Amino acid sequence: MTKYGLVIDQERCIGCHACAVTCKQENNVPMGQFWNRVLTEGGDHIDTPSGTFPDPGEASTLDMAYQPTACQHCENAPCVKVCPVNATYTRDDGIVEIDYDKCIGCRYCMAACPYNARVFNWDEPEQMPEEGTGDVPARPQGVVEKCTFCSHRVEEGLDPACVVNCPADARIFGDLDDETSTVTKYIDRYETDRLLEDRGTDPKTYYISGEMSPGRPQRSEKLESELDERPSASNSDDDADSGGDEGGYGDSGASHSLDGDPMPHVPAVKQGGDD
Amino acid sequence: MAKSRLASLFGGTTDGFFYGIDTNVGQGFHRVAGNLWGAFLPPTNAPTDWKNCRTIIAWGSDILRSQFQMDSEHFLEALRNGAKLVVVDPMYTTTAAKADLWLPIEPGKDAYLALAMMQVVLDEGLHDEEFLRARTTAPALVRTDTGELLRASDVSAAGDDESVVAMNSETNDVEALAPETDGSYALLGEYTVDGIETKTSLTVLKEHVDGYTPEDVADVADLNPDDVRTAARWLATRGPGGILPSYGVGRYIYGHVFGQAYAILMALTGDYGNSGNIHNQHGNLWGGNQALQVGDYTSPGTESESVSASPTTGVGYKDVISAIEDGQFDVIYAMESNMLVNQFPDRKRWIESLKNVDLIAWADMHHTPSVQHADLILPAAHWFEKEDIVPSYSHPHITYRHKVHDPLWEAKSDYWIMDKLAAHLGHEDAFLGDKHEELRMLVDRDDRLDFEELYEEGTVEMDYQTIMYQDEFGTETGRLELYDDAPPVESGPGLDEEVSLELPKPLEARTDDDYEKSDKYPLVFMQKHGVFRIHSQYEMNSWVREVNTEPQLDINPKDAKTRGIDDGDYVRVHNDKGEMVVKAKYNDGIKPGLINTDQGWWDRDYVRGHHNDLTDSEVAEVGRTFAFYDTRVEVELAPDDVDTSNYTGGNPVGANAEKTGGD
Ligand code: SF4
Ligand code: SF4
Ligand code: SF4
Repeated sequence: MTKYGLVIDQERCIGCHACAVTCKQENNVPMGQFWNRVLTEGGDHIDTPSGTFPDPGEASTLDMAYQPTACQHCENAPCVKVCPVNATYTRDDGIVEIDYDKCIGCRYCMAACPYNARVFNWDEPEQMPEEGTGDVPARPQGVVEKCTFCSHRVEEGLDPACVVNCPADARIFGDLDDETSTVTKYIDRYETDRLLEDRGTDPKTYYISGEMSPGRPQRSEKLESELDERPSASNSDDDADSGGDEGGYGDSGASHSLDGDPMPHVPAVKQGGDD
Repeated sequence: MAKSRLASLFGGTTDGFFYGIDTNVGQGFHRVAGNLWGAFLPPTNAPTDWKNCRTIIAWGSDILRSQFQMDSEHFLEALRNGAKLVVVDPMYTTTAAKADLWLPIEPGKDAYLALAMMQVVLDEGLHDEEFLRARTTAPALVRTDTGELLRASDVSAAGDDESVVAMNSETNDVEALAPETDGSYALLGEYTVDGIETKTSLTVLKEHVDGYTPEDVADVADLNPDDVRTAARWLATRGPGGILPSYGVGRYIYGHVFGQAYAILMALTGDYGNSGNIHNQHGNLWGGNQALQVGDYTSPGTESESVSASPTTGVGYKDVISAIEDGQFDVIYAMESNMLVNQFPDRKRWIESLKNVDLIAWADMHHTPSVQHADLILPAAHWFEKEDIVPSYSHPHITYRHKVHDPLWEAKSDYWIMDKLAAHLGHEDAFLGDKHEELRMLVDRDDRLDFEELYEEGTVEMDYQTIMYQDEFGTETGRLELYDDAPPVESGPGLDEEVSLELPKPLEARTDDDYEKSDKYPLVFMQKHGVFRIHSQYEMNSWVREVNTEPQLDINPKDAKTRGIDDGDYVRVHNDKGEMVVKAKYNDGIKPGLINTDQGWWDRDYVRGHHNDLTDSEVAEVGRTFAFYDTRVEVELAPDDVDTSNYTGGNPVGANAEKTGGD
């Protein structure tokens, strides 16, 4: 079986919000809504720490980290349980998804989700640009929406948009049931937490803290399982050594392949957008 | 390139960074290490080598916010590999949050800290003797009577006037110092040579830095002396490492002194020419190799073409304003720039000066505040709407960018506009009139590249050097010059007298506590390079504006409370030059006495005023660079009648920022 999960390395995360913004772009998320938010662990505002500024010469107690937060794709998902019309369901690959045709907008799921991962289209959704973006059709007014782990991409053998576009390689997506996958190996190797574990939701999103991982080992948009040659954390290290004279500026793993196409790679448009 | 070529057709004047912006710290560094690549920050090892750094001192650099796009992964890789990260910053930044040691320095005191670190290195004998003998002027003898370096001609009739000399402690004789020669030169000590009393340069330096112990400096800079020692010891003893500044320190008026100081500090620790050294936060300028080499295309006067040309004059940003005020320009043609009316300091003065210009034409793809001041607006095509060749300073590739969309509405490419302009000025032959062919011709001039390959591949990696500073330095002696006997003299705001800079001496203008107006304007005002824009670009990006809604003022709750300011209140920031009204954001990570608003916001984003209505365009004699952070202000609650409805009206897009239409 396949069970998709996400590892976010908070030691790597630089709180840049690229994952939050690229998610909007990829998934045609309406204005005023986010499926993925980058929270600051620290003070009350973005980019502020907890603690007080040290007096001259005193040791600092300030502390700050970032916690990107989207749907955690819980194995034991309360949102799935409460949905009266089975609009929210868990796919065979573990992704929790919403059938927007079935959703009646009762918002039980929003009350049930302890992660505030869902948003509701109170009004007629406004897209920017108007004709929408990305490769996912817009959702109508009156339904709840949320992160899909970019299932439309995953089905094409591509990693989620937020994973590919993280400049710190802090997001790693893969199959938790595959013991050779990077996500499985990192969960074994590094100290990970899941959010609100005591709620028994069994999330499939893991947060690394403590020791920093090597991050996402491949550069390609593709899922690890779709690569001809599987990268591993260790061989990506070796590749990163090949700077300069040996040629190959950090093109570890597979590179952004254009397949000889002189035009930029634009994913096939399914519906709803200019990418 | 086409811009310079066009200007050269009629002897036009073009503007440029030299001198004006980002040229401060680099100038100081280059005084020690030789003129490397102009006045910008010095070259550094390729980012692929950063993982070998054992100590990184990010100094006035929030690299993970301002330079993260290419370099964060390499920076993180160094940390993962066990490098110690020291961050010197008066603000607890994203980068500081990842540091092993954070030095929350008082604004403007950076040169003090660098001197104290030198004091520690020399006092504890942690300096790299072998390196100092072979590759620096540490052993070069300085005359006690004149303060000049002893020259070969002073001690031998056969000696030349240029060579400096050192004492060989084996032969007890002086020798002229050749670059990269490792003799048994005395590093410390006083020697009488032919009746002339001398000391080694390192001795002179040591005596100088003895006045800056960690205890002395900790007091001035609000630091802990043990932390200063730790930082110095890590740099000196943990293996290869380095100092990674950004342009931040150079935004104090005398930031060049810090450049001189950290170049010397790294000489003491021998951190040049090794894998694992780091010298600045840009992942290298890649030796300029990634620039297209097109010969004299931009100044065709020397060619045997049918194009006749006159030499172009370049005016540094710092001099542009007085040139405009003097009425030197009848016409200004501007493109891809929002400098004049948004990004330059002392904004109102620039706006006023533009009245002296008969015609201002502005080509831009955005309706920026600067465009607003033009007589003629030329809508330029977006870069996705035209083909082009793109070099980069942040990676070693040359990229062929293909057009993906026709220009919308009446927009034209800058090339098209310039070709027509040239023709109108009587230079029909200046450009080929076909961009694709013009690009082919340019690539053909560069014998490293093949046009078809670049066109097909899209991206070509150019050769580059991974480890810098392995060869002779570009100084007169070919060595790092610790002591300068023909130093520039600084005289500028805040200085009581002229200061000559044989060795780095901390100089300050408005950040100084003794600054005449520090009572009236007690707060130092910084304008950090934030993560949400590239300078003023993308200001109107509606998606980003949902996260980064409006200009805010980072203020320590202590400073806010004594002024009766609550978190989220609108406040008026003001000084003698002007004001801005923004929302206060309590931030325990900013040092009391310092406030910050990220730069790059447009005038329309402010409830009132603008951050550059508070800054000054004054530059120092040696530094010659705008000093945006050398600004003092006071903050008070905004008057009740300010209209904040743009932000308080529940509009997530912010001020009257127009929607992008998917820009
Ligand atoms: S995070 Fe919330 S929305 Fe996502 S699966 Fe869990 S309960 Fe459902
Ligand atoms: S996986 Fe896709 S839908 Fe989920 S946060 Fe990332 S980009 Fe958004
Ligand atoms: S894109 Fe990556 S580094 Fe940036 S906020 Fe998201 S997880 Fe963190």
